[in-house]
Amino acid sequence: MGGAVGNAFAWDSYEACLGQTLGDRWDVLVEQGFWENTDFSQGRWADAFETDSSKFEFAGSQINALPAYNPVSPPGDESFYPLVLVPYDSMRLASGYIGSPPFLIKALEATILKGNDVLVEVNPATAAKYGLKDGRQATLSTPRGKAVVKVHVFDGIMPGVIAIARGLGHTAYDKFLAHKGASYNALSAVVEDPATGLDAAWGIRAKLGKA
Amino acid sequence: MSAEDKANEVSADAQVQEPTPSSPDNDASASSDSAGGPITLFFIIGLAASLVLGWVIFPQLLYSKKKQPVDFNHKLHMGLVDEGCQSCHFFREDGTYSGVPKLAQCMDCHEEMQGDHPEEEKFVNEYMAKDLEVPWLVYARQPDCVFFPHAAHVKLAKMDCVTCHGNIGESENLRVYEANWITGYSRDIWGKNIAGIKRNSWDRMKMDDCSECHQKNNVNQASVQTHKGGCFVCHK
Amino acid sequence: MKHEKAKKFGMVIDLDKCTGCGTCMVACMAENNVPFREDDTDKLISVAWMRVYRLTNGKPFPHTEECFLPRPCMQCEGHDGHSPCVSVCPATATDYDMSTGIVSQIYTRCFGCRYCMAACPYHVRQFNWWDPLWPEKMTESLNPDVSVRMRGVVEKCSFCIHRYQTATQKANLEGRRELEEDEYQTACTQACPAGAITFGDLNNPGHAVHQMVKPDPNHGGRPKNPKAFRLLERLGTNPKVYYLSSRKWVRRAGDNYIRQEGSQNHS
Repeated sequence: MGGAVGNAFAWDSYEACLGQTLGDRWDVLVEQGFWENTDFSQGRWADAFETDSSKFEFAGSQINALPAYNPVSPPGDESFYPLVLVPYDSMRLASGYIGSPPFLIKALEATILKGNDVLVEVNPATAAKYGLKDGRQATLSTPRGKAVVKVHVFDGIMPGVIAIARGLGHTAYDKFLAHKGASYNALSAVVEDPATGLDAAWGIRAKLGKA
Repeated sequence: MSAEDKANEVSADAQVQEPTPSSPDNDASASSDSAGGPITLFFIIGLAASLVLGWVIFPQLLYSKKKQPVDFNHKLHMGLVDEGCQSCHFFREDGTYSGVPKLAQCMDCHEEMQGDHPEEEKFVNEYMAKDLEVPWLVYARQPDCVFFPHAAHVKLAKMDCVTCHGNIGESENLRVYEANWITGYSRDIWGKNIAGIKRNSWDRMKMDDCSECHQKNNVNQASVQTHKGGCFVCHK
Repeated sequence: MKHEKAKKFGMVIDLDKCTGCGTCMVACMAENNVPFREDDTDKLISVAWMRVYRLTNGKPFPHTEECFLPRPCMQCEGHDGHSPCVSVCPATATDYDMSTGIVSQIYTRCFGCRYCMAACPYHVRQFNWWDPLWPEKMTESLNPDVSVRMRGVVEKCSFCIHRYQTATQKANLEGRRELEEDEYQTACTQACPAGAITFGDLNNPGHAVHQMVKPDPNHGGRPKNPKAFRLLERLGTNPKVYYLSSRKWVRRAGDNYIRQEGSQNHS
C-alpha cells in the first residue's frame, strides 16, 4: 500500500493489523495454524422459517388466506396482446445498466443475438399458431413499445409465453455492444400489487407478428 | 491408332528433334568469324555485372544498417564481473531469460561515471541520468512465433553461450546492426553469408540450424508428419 | 516413433457440472489473443477456440431438457497420430506430436487452403477472414506468450501449449525435466467456476484424468466409467477430450445414429 491509502492505514504492516485486531486468536493462529471457535453452534434450521413447511417459500401458503389476495395479471389487453412476454437472465450477459464487455458479446450464443437482432424464445406451438419461422425476423409489440426481434423456436419455453434476454439494446458503450438487440425495459410496464401497494413488474402482454 | 502407337510416334518425334538444340551453336560458330569477339566480351561483362549486382550490391540493399545507441565494450566488462555472461544476462525465477540488461542492472556501478570514456559519458548522461532505458538493438531477436527457452539449453543441455552467439563476449565494440528491410529481422538470423554457407555454429540462427542440432541430439523427435522435432517444441 | 516417457495430454469435461456460463470461452479468448469482430454472431466464421454448444433433448414442453457442451480441440490421435486435419495438411503447418499428444498449428507456415477445416469433424478450426482486431486499449492486454494470427490462416485450440512451454522452462531452470500435474493446466480448466473441466496426462496414473477415463480392456478398450463418452467416437478420430454425462440422451447426442438404430429411449 502506498500514497494516501498507505498513510491512512493505522498499522505499520498488515501483520501488525491482524495481530491487533485478532488479539489472542492471532497468537493461536500463529502457533497452531488454525483457530477453533468453541462457542459456535449451527443454526437451528428447523425453527428458522415460520412457514408451514418450515422452509423458505417464495410466497407463503398463508397468503392465500388473505381476503385481498388476487394474482397480479400482466398489464395489457389480452384480446389484442394474446401472448405474455417475460424477461430472463442469460449467464453470458450483464443484465443491469452495466454493459457486457466484448468478450461476453462474442461468447454469446447465436440463439440470443444474431446480427443486430435479439432472439426471443417461442414455443413451437406458439410459432405455428402465428406463422413464425425459426431465425426469421418478427415484430414484437407490447402496450409500451415495439421492437424488431428474431424468433428462436425452442421447446423449453411454455406455449403462450415469449422470453427475451435481459442486457441487450444498449445505446451507450462501444460498437461491440451499442445498438445490438432490444431492451426488455423499453417494452415492459409495471402494475400495482393490490396487497402491498408496491409496483410490480414481471411480464407484459405482447403480440408477435411477422415483420 | 492405338495408344501404344501414339506413344511410339511421340518418342520418335522426340528423337528426331534431339539434334536441333545444337543448331544455334552451329550458327554461333559460323558467325563468330565476323562478330564473335565483341559478343563474347559483351556476354562476359554482362554476366560479371549481374553476378556483382546479385551477390554484392543486392544483399547490401536488402539490409538496413543501424548503429547501437551506445557502443558497449563486452571485453572490458567481462574482466570486471565474477560470473561471466550470467552476471548481466541472467535467468529470472520463473524460468524466463532476462536477455539484454535493463538500466536497473547497470545502475549498481554506473549511477555515476566510472571512467572517462565518451561512450560511458553518453550512457550515464543520456540514459542513466534521465532514467531512460537504452533502446538496444538485439542481434539474436527471433520472430514472434518462436519460443526459445534459454533454460532448456543452458541449464539442461549445458550448452555455452558461444555455440549460438559466438565470441561476442570478447568484443570491444558493438557491431553495426543490420535488419532486413522486408521482414524486419536481424541479419544474424539469416547469417552474414548471402549464400547461406555456415562455417561456425553461431553463423546463422535459422530454423534449420535449431533443427540440425535437435536432430543430432535426438531432442523431441516426435513429429508424425516430419519424423523430426514437433512444431510446438519451438513454436508458439 | 515411440518416445519413452511420452505424454498424452487430455481433458475430461463433466457435463453434469457445466452450467453453460461461458467462462471457459472468455478465459480462452483472453489467454490466446483471440480477436473480436463488431458482429461476431455468425458462429460459422467467428473465431473461438473454445465454444459452448447448447443441446436439447428435443422433447416438447415441459419435458424439455438442456445440456451445455464445451468444445475445445479434441486433439485427435487417430491411428498413430494421423488425425484428420494432420493427414490433409499440404504445408506441414499442422502436426501431431507423439511426445505430448497435442496437434500443433503453426500460423506462419499455414497458407490458408482450409483442407484441415474440411477434414475436422468437430468444427474446431477457424479461418481468419480478416486481420485481427481488438477493441481499443485491449491490445495492451494481449498475451506475449501466444503469437497473434494474421489474415488468411487457420487457427485452433492448442491446449494452451505456451503454458506447457513456460512451465517446462521453469522446471528446467530448477533442474527438473518433468512437470507436476498442477504446473500445466489450460486456461479453461482453471477458469471453470464449476470445476467441470479436468486436464492432465492420460498416460500418467498419478493424474486425475487418467483415473477418470482409463481404458478398460473388459469394456472394449473404452473407459470403465459408464458416464464417459467421446464426440463422434465411431469416426475413429480417437480424440483426447472425454465427456461425462449421467444422461443417456446427452451421451447419444455425442454421436450420429441412424434413426432406427439401437434404443430410441431417451432417458
